[in-house]
Formats: sequence, C-alpha cells, structure tokens
Amino acid sequence: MASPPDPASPPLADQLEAALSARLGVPAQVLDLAPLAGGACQESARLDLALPGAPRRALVLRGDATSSLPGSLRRAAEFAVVQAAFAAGVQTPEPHWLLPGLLGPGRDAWIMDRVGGEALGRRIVHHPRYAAARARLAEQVAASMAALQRVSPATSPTLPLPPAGPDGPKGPDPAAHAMRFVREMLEDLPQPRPELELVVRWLDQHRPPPPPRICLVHGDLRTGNLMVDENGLVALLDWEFAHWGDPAEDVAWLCVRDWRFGRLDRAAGGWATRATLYQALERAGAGPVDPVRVHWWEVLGNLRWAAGSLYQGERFLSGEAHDIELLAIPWRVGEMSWEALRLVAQGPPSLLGADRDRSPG
Amino acid sequence: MTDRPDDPTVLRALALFLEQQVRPAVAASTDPASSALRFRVRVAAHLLTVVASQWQAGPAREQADLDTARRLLDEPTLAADQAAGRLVAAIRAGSLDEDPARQALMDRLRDELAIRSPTFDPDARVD
Repeated sequence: MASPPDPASPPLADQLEAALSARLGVPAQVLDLAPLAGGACQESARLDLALPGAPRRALVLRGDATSSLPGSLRRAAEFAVVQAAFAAGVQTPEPHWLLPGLLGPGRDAWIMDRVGGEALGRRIVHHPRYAAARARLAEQVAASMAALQRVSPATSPTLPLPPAGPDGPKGPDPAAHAMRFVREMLEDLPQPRPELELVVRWLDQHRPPPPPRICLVHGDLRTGNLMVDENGLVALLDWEFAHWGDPAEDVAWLCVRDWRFGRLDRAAGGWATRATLYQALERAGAGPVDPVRVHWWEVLGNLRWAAGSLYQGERFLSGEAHDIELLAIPWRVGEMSWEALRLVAQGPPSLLGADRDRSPG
Repeated sequence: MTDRPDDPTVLRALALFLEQQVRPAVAASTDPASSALRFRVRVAAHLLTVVASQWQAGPAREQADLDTARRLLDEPTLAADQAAGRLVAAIRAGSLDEDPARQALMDRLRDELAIRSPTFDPDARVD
C-alpha cells in the first residue's frame, strides 16, 4: 500500500466493520485483512467477511489511492461501471458495496468477490498447466467482450463516464479523443522521441471515421488483467481505465505485441491467433471485426504503451516512487516504438482478407 | 586513478554476482516477500548489464543519431543537443519525407534495442 498508516485513525479493519455493519444492518466481522500489491491509483486488500448465520465470504477491497493517473477512474465511478458490466454478463468478480469516504475524505472504496486463479501473463501464456485454458480463452474472452458491447450510453445513460469524444456530424469520435490524449502525454515528456512523432503523424493521417456504435470499453484488456485457471477465464480485472468508446480499441489492446509474452504467432494475448479471436468475437455477437480499424488502434496502443513506459520512469525521477523496475520500463520504449513503426510500415491488412489464407487454431 | 578494472567490467561483474549468487539465495528463501525481491534482483542485474553496454556503445550511438538527424534534415552542422527537437519539429510540420525518415529511425532503434532489449527480435514474424 502506498500510504503509511495514520496513527490517529482507527485500523482499517475496524472502520470496515463499522461501515459494513451500518450498510448491512447486521454486525459484520472482518477477518484476515491483508494488503494486495497496489497500482498507482488504487489500493487493494483481501479480506474475509463473516455475517451472523452466513458462511464466511472471500472478498477484495479496492480503494482510492492519494494520487491518480490521468484518464483513470476514481473508485465510485469504477464501482458503477463494474456493476453495469457485471449485470450485462461480463465475467468479472461480482461488485457488492461502495463505501464512500472509507479511506478518508474523498477516498472511497468498494468491495467485490475474491476469485482464485493465475494473473501472471507469462505463466498463462507458457505454463503447460494452462494449455486447455488457452484453447478456451478466445471464446470466453469474446463472450465478455460481446457483453461489454451491450453496455452503451443509450442503455446506461447515468454511468458517470465522460463522453466518448468530441461530437462530430457522425456522432462522438473516440479516435480523435484518444489522439488528443496521447499527444498531451507526449508533449508533457521532457525528452522528445522523433520516432513517436512519426507514429502520431501516421495516426493523424489514417484516423478511422467514428465507429458504427459506442459502447463500454474496458480500456486495459490484456493478458495480465485476465484471471485464469485450468478451465480458462475466471475474470476480467482492473476497470480503472474503462470508458465509452470504440469496441475495436479493446480488441487491438488485447493484441499489442508486449502482452503476447513472446508468442508472437498468437496475436490475442499470446493464447490465440488473430483469426481465432476475430471468429470467436463474430460468433459471440461482437462482430463484424473491422481489421483496418483494429490495426489503427493497435498502432495507437503501441504508441500509448511507449509513452506510458516513459511515464513510469518519470515517476521514479520525480521521487514519487522508488521501485527499480521503474528505471527498466522506460528503457523498453524502443520495443513499443519499433512495433508501432513496423505496423505502420506493414500497413493496414487488406480488406480482401490477408487472414483468409491463414488457418485458424 | 586507475582504469583497471574499467567501469563496464565492474558493472558486468556486479550483474553476474546478482544473477549467479544473490538470486539463487533469494529464490531459496521461504519468506513470502522473496518473489518480489527475486524479480528486483533480476531487474538490477539487467540494468547493470545495459549500463555497461551503453558505456561502451554510447558515444558511437550518439554520433550515429546525430548523423541520421543531419542527413534527414539536410543540415550538416546541426548541434547534437538540437537534433531530436529539430526532427520532432520537422515531422510535425510535415517537412520530412516519411518513408526514408521511418526507415532511418528504425535503423537507429535497432541499435538501441540490441543494447537495451537483447531478447527483443526486431526481425521476428509478428502476426
């Protein structure tokens, strides 16, 4: 956890028991509360909850950290998004209660089911134990992506998310919005990287028209945010970058080279080929997949991760964080830069189907 | 001051020490915190190896970066500290021929990758 305990405030377990007892109207007992490795903008803990006459429940608490990354949701909005996703049939731990102000003024927390499994990408992609799981993941992830597409500003007008982008004559334009965001990120960096500017220029010149429909986009859907067990997908995790947008964005982010953990032949997160994923999406009702649109978002995804990697280094240099891996990540920027330029040089896939000749599986 | 051993030699020896002696000792620990520590020992060894390589290749790489910028911008006397900024400005203004610029910058990236990402294969087939 990023913030040290405040000696003046009661222990978190006591506060949680009080908040949950008030919420549920019965005395709640919190057991085995322990921190989980946190991210930059949320803090997580595992806990068990005992209620009178009910079996003990395994849960996870996600709370607002003191700082937040640009573009990331605070916990109250995240809770609303996960509720909507769960209700639509997305495979994700069931969200239970939002506890406003639990961690201090303006720092909310929410509680979900705790699920078991493996989230380490390298193991999911390579370990023999997950061979059967890998064969099922395309279909299972596609089912959840199709469910995400059923959540839209029309079905969930009260979700606390900003608009998908500037409104044009053909509707909101998420690509224009994403370009503005990534350009701001690059402009804030102290050292210019000319190769990233070339990528920006290509993206500007090839921006797709607004998508046929706007839906809920997970925003960080990749191997590493998938909980997997021997039977396949257990849950999609980490909703802090969820937003209204183009469903092609999630498809592309899932295929970004770095999340394949070396299995470059399996574009979909290192566990399925591109053709397998696209077919699964179409069968699940999340199609048709537009490969040209996905290619554009994949170039953008690599650019975004390139800029993001440089930001991780800035977090160390500013004194905000001291983990030495934050020094190694920005030195990998060449990998994402290379992949973005390689995709640019290769160009978008032919609409007549370069994939058609490739056998699925 | 003596330069025997020279700096890259010391850095590489430290990297080997971390990989071959510290890491197995941490791996053998039953402390639950050891997996995070094992990862960081590996990161530390990697960083030392990269720094050692950059020490040796750095000056030549910087010169090659500058030569590339001078050629692309057609400015033979461009100063080193101006190169990246001027390239960015030219790309934004659309005054560079993009295919050769991309090719030249990818060539420069190849050298960077060889040092900083030795397991990354730029010529791999990516589907």
